[in-house]
Amino acid sequence: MEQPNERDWVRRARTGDRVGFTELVKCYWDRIRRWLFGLTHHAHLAEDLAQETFVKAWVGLAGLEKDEHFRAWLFRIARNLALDSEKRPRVVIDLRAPDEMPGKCEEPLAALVQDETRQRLREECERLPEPYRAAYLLWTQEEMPYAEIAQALAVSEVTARWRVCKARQALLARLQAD
Amino acid sequence: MCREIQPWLMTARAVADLPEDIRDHVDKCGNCRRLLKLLKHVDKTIATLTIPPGRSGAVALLEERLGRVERDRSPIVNDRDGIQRRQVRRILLIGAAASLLVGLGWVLGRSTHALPQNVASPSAQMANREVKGTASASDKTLVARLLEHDVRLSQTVEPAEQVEILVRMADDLSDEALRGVRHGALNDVPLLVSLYGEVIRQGLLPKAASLPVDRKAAVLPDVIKRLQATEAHARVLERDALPIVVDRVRSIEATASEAQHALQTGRQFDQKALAQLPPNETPLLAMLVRQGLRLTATDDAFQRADLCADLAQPLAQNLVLVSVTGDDQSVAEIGQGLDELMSRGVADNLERVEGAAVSDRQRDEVKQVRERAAQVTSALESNFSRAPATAKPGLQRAMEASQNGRDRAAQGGKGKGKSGQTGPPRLRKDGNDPDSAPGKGNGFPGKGKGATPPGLQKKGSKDDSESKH
Repeated sequence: MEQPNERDWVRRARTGDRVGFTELVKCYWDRIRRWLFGLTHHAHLAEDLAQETFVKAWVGLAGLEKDEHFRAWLFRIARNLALDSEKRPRVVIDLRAPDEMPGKCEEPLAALVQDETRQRLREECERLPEPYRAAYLLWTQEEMPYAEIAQALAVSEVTARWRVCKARQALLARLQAD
Repeated sequence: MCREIQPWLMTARAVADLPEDIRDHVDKCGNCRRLLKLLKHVDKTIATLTIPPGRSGAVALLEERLGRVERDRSPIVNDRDGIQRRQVRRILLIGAAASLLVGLGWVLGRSTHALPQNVASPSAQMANREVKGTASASDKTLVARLLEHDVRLSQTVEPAEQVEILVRMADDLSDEALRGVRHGALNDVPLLVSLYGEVIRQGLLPKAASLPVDRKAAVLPDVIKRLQATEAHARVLERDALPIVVDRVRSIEATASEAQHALQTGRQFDQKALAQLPPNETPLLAMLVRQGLRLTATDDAFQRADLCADLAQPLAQNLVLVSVTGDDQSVAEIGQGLDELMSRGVADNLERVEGAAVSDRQRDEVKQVRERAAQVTSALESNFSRAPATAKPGLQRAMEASQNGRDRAAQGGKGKGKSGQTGPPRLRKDGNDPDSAPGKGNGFPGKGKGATPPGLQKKGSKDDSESKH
């Protein structure tokens, strides 16, 4: 029997089927949390925002125009919540990823260089202006096409393309500055 | 040339995404190839950055919240017309509710002015109750929510309203049980599942069966929908539940499913006597549920007051116990709930009895209930005097919050009110009772010593009133 795909789950969830929505939560929970962490740099805040995102999505599913727009729509909710959260005071807890991230290089020196590069890139990415960072993370982590990034961020496709371009330029410039 | 095509490279994911002439240039240009390679490396590194692990139970918490949301809202409608229809209906309902409230306020104002000693009209009480009942009910503790249901049940003899309250009660119990399953807080799960079954079988189904045909058509679809949601929720949880509680989860699922079937087919459930409770449970939860069920089984105002008075004693005991834990929010909720119970459950019903022609025997019975209500107050005051200093502020606020209701239940009339000199009598500024002395009776069963409220030593004691029924 053919396994239901994401669009089937969205269709089911739109009719009020919790099982369908639970499947969508499974599919997107880590991805939304990861993206929100990229935007906020706070693990708990990202998690709380992810919670809110899915609750809002569940409540507002009836407003989704097309099943295939679900991903962009979900990320848009997350973004709006992240922007809203910046308006409120928050407790800042530094919960960055532990330094001992597993590397693929077997050679210690190469691994060290890779880890340093990774850490450096993480820091540089955090310094990017939020609009650039939001677009760039969707492009890299979600591999979204520009049209979908545009939907998620509520901008035109040209703007989405421009933001990714600027983010990549900025990262390269900072890496090459050393 | 390289500078001109850089924007293309900056927005391309792979060489294949580039226009043909630019691809040709990249094939020939080492710099552009290196740039693309570097960009790819950067992208890949960013794409694989790890994030700190999430808190355990976060998704479970989400599921639980979704369940709550599901219960609190109307079903999803896909078509736009449906949404518009709902919006129009909502606006009309809000308008109607506002008009009704204004009208009720006017009627209430007139009737109160004309009859200062009278009880407020049932409809006014209902409106007031609804307004209070809607305040973030889902954030309250289970005890507070069940108490709220009991107070509502003590005020209505309308079967459709009773059905609606019983469904909410069942939802609260299943939600709490399933949340316990998700979070590994399994101690109360057996009790909660058992109580869920009782509410469905002993309360909801018989009461739904007693509805007139036209009311069934109006009320039951929503009830069935809620049962379906509970069944689905339990089914989702069943997959990940610990083996030791899987049967409990299935029990919820099966009960919800059977109940839907019974309501759809009109089949009657066999009404059994209230089951014996398993040991090591929280008796107050059982008391709250069972008194609620008993309230649905009687239309007699005196019996309803009596049932509520039965509930007041363990509730006050629980209030003291919770105050010692420092959980101020729960203390406040229980204090508020005690006030409602005494005022609406006990006092209003007793006043209904007194309002009718009563015999001497009935007058004596009313007096006895009032005396029991007064015992609650003296028990609270006695416990307050010996409560630990940290528990006193919360307990004092709860006592103040419940004073009006307690006074009304014990003495009749309107009570002392909440303004002015309230709070425990003889209270000094330092929060200690100058007259308190170790060894004095405290009003609750069992004797406490020193700073420990008596309820703590008798935590597992079973309430006497349970054995009455």
